[in-house]
Amino acid sequence: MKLLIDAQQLSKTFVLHQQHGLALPVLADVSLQVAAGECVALTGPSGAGKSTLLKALYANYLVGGGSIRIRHQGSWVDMTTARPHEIAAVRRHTLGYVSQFLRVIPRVSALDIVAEPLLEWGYSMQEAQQQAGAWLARLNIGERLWQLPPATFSGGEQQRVNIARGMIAPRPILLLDEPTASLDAANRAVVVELMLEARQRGAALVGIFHDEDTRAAVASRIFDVPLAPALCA
Amino acid sequence: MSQPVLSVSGLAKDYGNGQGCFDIDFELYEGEVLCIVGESGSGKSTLLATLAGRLSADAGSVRFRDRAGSSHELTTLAEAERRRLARSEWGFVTQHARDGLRMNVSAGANVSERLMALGQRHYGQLRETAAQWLEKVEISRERLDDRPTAFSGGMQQRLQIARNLVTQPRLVFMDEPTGGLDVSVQARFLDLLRRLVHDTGIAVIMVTHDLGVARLLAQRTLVMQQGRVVEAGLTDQILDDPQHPYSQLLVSSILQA
Amino acid sequence: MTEACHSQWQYNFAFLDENTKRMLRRALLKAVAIPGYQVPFGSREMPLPYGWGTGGIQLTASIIGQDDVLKVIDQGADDTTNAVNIRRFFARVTGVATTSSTAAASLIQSRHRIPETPLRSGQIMVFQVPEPEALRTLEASEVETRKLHAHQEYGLMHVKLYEDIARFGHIATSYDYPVMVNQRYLSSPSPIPKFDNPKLHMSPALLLFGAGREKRLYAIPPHTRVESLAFDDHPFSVQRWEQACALCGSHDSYLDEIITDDAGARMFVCSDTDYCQQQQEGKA
Repeated sequence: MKLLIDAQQLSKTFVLHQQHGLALPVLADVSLQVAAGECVALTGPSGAGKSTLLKALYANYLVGGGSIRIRHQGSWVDMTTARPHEIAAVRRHTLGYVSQFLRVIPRVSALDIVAEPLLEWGYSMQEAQQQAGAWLARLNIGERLWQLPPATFSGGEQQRVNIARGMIAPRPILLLDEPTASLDAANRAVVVELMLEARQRGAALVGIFHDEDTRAAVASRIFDVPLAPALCA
Repeated sequence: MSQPVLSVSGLAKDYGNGQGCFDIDFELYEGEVLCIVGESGSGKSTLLATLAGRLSADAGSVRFRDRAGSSHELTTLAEAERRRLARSEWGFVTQHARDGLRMNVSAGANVSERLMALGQRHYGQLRETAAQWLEKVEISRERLDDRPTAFSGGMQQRLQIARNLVTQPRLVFMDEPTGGLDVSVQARFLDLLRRLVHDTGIAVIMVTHDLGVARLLAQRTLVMQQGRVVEAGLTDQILDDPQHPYSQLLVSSILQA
Repeated sequence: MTEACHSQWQYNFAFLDENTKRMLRRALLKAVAIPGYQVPFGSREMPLPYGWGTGGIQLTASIIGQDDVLKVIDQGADDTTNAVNIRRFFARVTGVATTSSTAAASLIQSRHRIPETPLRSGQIMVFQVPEPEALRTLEASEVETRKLHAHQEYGLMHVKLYEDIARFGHIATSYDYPVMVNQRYLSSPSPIPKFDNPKLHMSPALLLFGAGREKRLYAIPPHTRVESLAFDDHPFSVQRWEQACALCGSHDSYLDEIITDDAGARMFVCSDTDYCQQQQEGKA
């Protein structure tokens, strides 16, 4: 079993300075290991820290304690101590993140948004756009939309553009934050297929899936995110 | 990729009354965009000017690695050498076009100036290069002989970009480049800049008070308050999980679109 | 010092006092040592307004000696107001011999021409300069232009030439055409026609430039490289005329166009009156 994620004893407390320093402990002593080919579904009550844990793994949130080791190009990188440009490199080549929300510069076309990660991987523009088109087609984004900036797309269309962008580069680890949240059944099935294909190529997946069918279809294991002590009370 | 373009440590510019910037440390790599955010008077423009050698540093070190791989200590660099680097290896885009462009000569002459300063002496080639750069910044080559005074604010800023990037610098400093632009014009400028950063691999240090600009453009952000960096890190981390009270205040002040 | 003129006019020889001349000579020595570099000097009030050649007159006054033979020209002519007045001035305050012959002169003060007759070793030319800074129309700040000279940053000058071509299809600058002296300093050749620029290159004579209002002087010593700026695909070229001089028939001198009547009849004649006369005499 080849470990790709090794997170040990993570803790995270939000301190809200605008609220007179109010401290909100969310994670305490959480450890998670994920191997290649696995898909771990994070579960737990709302507000229990599923999303926080996922964002901490991506170094989008800073943890208060613990270590997050990611296997990046053959060696371990601790995301809690890595320097910004190292984290950027890990994200570019190893660690993908698929969220529900698309955040891009307004004027860029859907095709270019999806192609961009491949360009960063060194693909030619032509090749990247070709693959981007294939992904968009598979996710049922009509070709007439490809050259348009997605700002005007429906929520579901934007989400599918985002999934294509997040998954197009064959990164070894994918973090997925409710990737199927607002999709219809047909598109949900496509996304499930894509996730299974990612597992088959040996990627490690960690995700939050509110939809139980999706969870049952893709997850190889459930990880119940434990409540932080203050939240237990 | 392994060596930073710019390494800054312990940098300070002290105006003597608590004003200036202090204890600045960061590294910047090829293809990276770093935003310096903070309110007016937080020292971000002072920091930028000190990094660019327009102000002399009072402490610390700024090491710049040029295209050929040699390292230069900018805080002690001789004026002649600093100006040579400023012409060939750096760019500087200002908030006001009149500070960064020659308003009384044509767009073509504006773009060609740095090339001519580096010794290019073929009018036809200079003109063709300038025309290509106008197109790269989405200005029609028909406008080559027009003066910047005839351009809109957004075009003037794009012309500044062309004027600076024509010598393929490694590092471009930008001081509130979108400050005077309408929101729609700003989006176009940011998109263009992002593409050019991607295509050319330049590193950019941009001062802005707009966290939205940082979100769209910068991998990394420094938050400054009262002359000091109170938080530094990946832009998305600072925006989504700000640690310092001042960063939290800034982030909570963003208007949600 | 010439006692005759001293007693007659109560002026020192050549008008200026000896200390002023010494200051000027020191500045000139520096100018000769650094070809093309603008040396500041303490410009004195002269008995004529700025713009009438006060810089040139002070330079001439500081170097003229009793054995000199002085020629003064204005736009090539020995007989125009400015030339006549300055020649007369020096005749009075020095008593030196004057001439209109280029060959006979040891010292030539000029407003905006270099004589057609080739200069020779030992001669000195003094140019009257209104604006010594070639970059001034492009960069208003003296602090900045001095930095540009110090760092030899002359891209700006080509910006002007570029603009010329962009607007007129060729480099339209036809006088005061910028030159690079000794491959180092960008200089104004004073408002001579660019026709005269090639004569600056490797000139056997010493060329001195004085700007009275701007308080700057500079020099091109004998046998110094002087290059007129240009582009590879728009090389430097001088004016040419289809006509020959209507008076002497010369084909290779700088011609002035003269309107001869109200109907617009015109003729082209040599700007250099001395040269034209010699050509005519040579034919006669």
